[in-house]
Amino acid sequence: MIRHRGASLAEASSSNRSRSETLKRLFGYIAGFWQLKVVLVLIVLTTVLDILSPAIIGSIIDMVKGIATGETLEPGSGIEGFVYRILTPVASWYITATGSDPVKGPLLIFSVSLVFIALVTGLFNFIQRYTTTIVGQSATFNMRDDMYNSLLEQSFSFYDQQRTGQLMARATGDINMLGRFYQMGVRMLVSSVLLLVLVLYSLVSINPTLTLISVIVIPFVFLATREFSSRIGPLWTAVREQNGVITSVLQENLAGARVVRGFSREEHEEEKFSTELQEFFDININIARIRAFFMPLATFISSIGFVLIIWYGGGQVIAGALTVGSLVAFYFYLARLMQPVRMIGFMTSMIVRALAAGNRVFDIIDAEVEVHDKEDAVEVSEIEGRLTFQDVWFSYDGTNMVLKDIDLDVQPGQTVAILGATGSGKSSIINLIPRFYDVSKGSIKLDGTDLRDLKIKSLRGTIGIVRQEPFIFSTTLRENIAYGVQNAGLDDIREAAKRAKIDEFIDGLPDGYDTKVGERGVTLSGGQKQRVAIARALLKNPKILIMDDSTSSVDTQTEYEIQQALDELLEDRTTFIITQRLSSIKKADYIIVLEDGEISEEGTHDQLIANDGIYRKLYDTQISGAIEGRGA
Amino acid sequence: MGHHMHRYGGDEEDHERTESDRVLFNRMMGYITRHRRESMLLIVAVVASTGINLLPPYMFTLAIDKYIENLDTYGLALIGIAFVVVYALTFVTQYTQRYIIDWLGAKLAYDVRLDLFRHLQELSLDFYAKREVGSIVSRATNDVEKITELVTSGVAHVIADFVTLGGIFIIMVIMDVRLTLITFSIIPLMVGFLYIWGQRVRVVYRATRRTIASVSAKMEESVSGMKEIQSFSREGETRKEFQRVNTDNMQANVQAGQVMSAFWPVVAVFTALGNCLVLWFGGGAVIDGALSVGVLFGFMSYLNRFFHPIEDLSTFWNSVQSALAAAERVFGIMDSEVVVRDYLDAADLPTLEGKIGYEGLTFSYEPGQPVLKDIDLEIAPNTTVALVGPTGVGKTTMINLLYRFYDPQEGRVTVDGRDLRGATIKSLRSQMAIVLQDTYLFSGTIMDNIKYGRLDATDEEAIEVTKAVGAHEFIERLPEGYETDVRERGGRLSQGQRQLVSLARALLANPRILIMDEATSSVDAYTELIIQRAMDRVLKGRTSIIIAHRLSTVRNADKIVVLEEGRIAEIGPHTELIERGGLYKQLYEMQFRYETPEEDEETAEPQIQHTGSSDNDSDS
Repeated sequence: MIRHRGASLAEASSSNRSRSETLKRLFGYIAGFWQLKVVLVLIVLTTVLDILSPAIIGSIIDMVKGIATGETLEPGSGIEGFVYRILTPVASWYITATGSDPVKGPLLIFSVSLVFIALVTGLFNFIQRYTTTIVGQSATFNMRDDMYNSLLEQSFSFYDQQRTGQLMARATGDINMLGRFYQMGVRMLVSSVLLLVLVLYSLVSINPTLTLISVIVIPFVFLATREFSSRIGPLWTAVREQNGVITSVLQENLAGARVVRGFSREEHEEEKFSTELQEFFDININIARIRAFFMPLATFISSIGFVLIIWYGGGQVIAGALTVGSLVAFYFYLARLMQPVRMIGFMTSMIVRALAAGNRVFDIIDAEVEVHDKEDAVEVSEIEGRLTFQDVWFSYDGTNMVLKDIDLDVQPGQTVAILGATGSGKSSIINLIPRFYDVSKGSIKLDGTDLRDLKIKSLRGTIGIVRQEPFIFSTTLRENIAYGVQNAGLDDIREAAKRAKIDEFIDGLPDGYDTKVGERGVTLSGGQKQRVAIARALLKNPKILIMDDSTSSVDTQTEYEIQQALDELLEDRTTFIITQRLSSIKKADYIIVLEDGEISEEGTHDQLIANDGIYRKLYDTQISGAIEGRGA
Repeated sequence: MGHHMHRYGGDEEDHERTESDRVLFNRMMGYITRHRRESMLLIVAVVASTGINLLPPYMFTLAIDKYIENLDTYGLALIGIAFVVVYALTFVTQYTQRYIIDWLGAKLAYDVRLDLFRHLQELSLDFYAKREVGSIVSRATNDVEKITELVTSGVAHVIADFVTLGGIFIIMVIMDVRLTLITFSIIPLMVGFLYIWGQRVRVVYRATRRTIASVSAKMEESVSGMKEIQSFSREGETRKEFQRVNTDNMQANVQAGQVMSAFWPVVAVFTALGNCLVLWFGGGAVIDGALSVGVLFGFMSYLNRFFHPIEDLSTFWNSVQSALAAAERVFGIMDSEVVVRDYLDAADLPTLEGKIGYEGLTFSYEPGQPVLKDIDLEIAPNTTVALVGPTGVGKTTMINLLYRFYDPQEGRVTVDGRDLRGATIKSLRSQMAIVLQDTYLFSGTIMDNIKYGRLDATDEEAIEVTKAVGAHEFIERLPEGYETDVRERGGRLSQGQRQLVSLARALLANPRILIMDEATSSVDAYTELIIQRAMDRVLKGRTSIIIAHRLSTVRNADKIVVLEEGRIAEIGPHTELIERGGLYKQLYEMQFRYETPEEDEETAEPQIQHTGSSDNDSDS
């Protein structure tokens, strides 16, 4: 029963998708939306509009200072000049139209234009953000849907290697992360690049030398950021892993509370937990050191740019080569430039994390479906139910054969009982029939057709399964019983429940068949679950029945009731049953005894008793016990 | 915007709290005061770094007005140096602030989690019976994170926000009172907006939390029930159901996106409005010579810094609410009463002989619904006793009482004649071992799991017991033998294999009292055969209590106790009880009837009186 088909999909992606491939695919999820073009246009518009305000502020300062000191106004160059040339005619129009003060008039127009620009920018900005949200959310919706569809398709071998928790983490945490990436990342990337170009242009247009001096610091910010991410990267991974360790230690401790108490191991557990906590603490402190150093460092380096403006730019103003307004505009531009520069660290880590999350999600979406329909697979509808195993070998991992050379010919309507020790391959045999796995060698045929030539869905439609631990969905009992059948009427459901001997219990519930399992404390015991599953199988009325009944953890009375329900179920079907109930075994038309994946004995009860092998020994131990007891 | 997104990521914070905010908050802060020195340093660092950070615009103003205007190159160089000093100080204080925040956060998480874990170890089993493991784990992970985040960075940010706002106000007033008042005239507008916006945010984020929870639940159910879904070919319907919850979640997120998208554009308009007022009135003042250009610049710079703290404060309330709810849940667990605990005068038990006594014992889990009534039972040392009876009759409860997982309401349980309540729990339990129906193994190697029974056992001793219970063979056949990692909950082993390992674990503990609660009911006939053979060796030389449904496994017990509706109905060895022809015989015959080849098995209807409670597996 040991299954280890390679390493499971662990934290790190197991695929060898390249970075650019992942990025391309992540982009693929949003590329199809026409809204994306609107978003891009709006980002460009808002960024350009955004760049105007410092120029306006600079112009106003020069204007008022000029008036105050009696100097003549000089339209600046670059954006400042552009703004000036547009706003001045508006201002003169305003003065002539309202007859207001020729000095205060332009001041008012220039000032109000700031609000006007902010309103327009704000509106664009809002539309852009909102549209981005729609695009991003639609993309993550599709991604989650793709992932879910892949999960629905995956064979059992996939689930053998997966932990539910990890799948859940990908479906929620990772995809949410990608949603944020779409919503913020795209905007930040586009607007940062654009802002960088535009601001640099504005700066150069004001004063090229000053620009050169003040942007000298930028490469250093880049360097610091790169150093930061290369140091912090492995620590983030470590902290996430350690967090997982802590969670699982705690989880095991709680789930095994009875064992911990039973062996009085509380102190040992506490030591284990505090060791892991300490490790977690240590990693966090390492992260804290690096973060505490590098984040203010980036700020510090970029601040030096401002010192250079004051020092050199101030000198230029004193020398008369620069106006105060330009200096102020320069200051505000540089402040704007530093925003994307400081964001670089944040953005790189976001991209790295998005790539990792994307890889983990794509691993699931791309996971190869091991058992799938052949192209020319045919539908099955009416079957007789003859099953033939020919030279069947099977292995979960490709090397350790759990079934070896199984030959078996089961006629329609026959019942085959499978016996064997734990790990002898009983469950493997029954998992092959609905093609939960495909055989490694040999073939299994239904009415003479290889199972692999049949459409999986139509094959499974003919098979009913009652599992050892049946899964009951958190919905009504009616829906749970009708799970296999579309549009089942309540009468049919009642009938199935009755034959499965669960009807009395259901009728006794306040909401009867509409009682939701799991709500208001309605929980089912093992025996009840099993009978619901039997009712489910009865309603489906399959030609082939598979019954894994190897556990009997129910008391005598319940066992008796299940037994009766079983008898109902087995009639007129080809049945495979794993069981320890001697009555079931005895009633079987054919019995096979598995040992280490091989059939060691087979035949009818009488034949096997006559054979005087393991079956006989097993039978004698159980029966003799009972007879001795009774006789005594 | 991302840095404050996570504040809305809480869950379950919507329900009413019973504990007052002040009590919870004080208790959270209590964890901080364990590190008084660091907290003080943090406050100093926060105030210093925020204060220092407010200086540059003012210095810039000075530079413009005092030095550039006056063509003072020397002064300009001086102020340049002053800038470098200020920025260097910012670096140092920021480093200190960030480091202490993270340090305190990590330390606090450590403290709270360890406190929680310690308490969880003391809690009696009835606590666990009522709760899901997942929800407790979530208390120790997500909730603890919320708490530490609030009391470290949350509080630090609020201090910084107030210092910033206050500082800006003071600096503005110093620069120009009239312009300050004009600028601040936009504040009522802004507060109004934030109030309405904040309420909308709360509503939409509640919807996103609710819908993502449905997505998770649906996904989890599908993954767990995948075998059923595929067996019944229900992929189509399931897919539709998932698409429905997924769509709900998307719509909620889009709604939230709409609300969130409004924030920064609106703030930008407010900033522009502020700038406009400053420039218009301030610019007029400059023209009139009443104001300097530097001050104009200073006002605008400070105005730009004004909105971040306000935004921060307006969302702070959300994170406080979320953290308080988290705190109530965490402290709720810490406050859960430890029902079974050592009494002050409890003494360590010496090595037990193994005599067990139940004396006039009555016990109920829920008041008024006694599970055991007036039980009197004496078990002699080194004998084997079997407890028999239908599900729900109180067999496991008798074991729970012997283990002191619970204390009885009436009567007492004794070992070697001493009341359990007079003994220390550790000295009692360390002399007992239990093998359960649903075996629990820890992730780790098989060897680790066996040695859980006795931590200081050698490998040889461990292997010896596995041989004794017949587990050695299958373990040897595993690729890595005893070093095989059994994975989460022993998932790599089959049920029967887990059972054998747990049997070895119990045997290695070499307990004076051994309890087997349905220990062999989940193994196949083969494995059971192996175990049955090992039983003699396992049971020898100690007092054993066996619970089993399959009566063939209890026949050899020295004494069989038949329970019926919480009382002892019959007691005696197998042969005696069969002869008596009472309940035991009925049970035995019913089981026997369909386990043996009988002609009348199809027709015989077993007669059993107590069908009422037999379906309820509440026997835990």
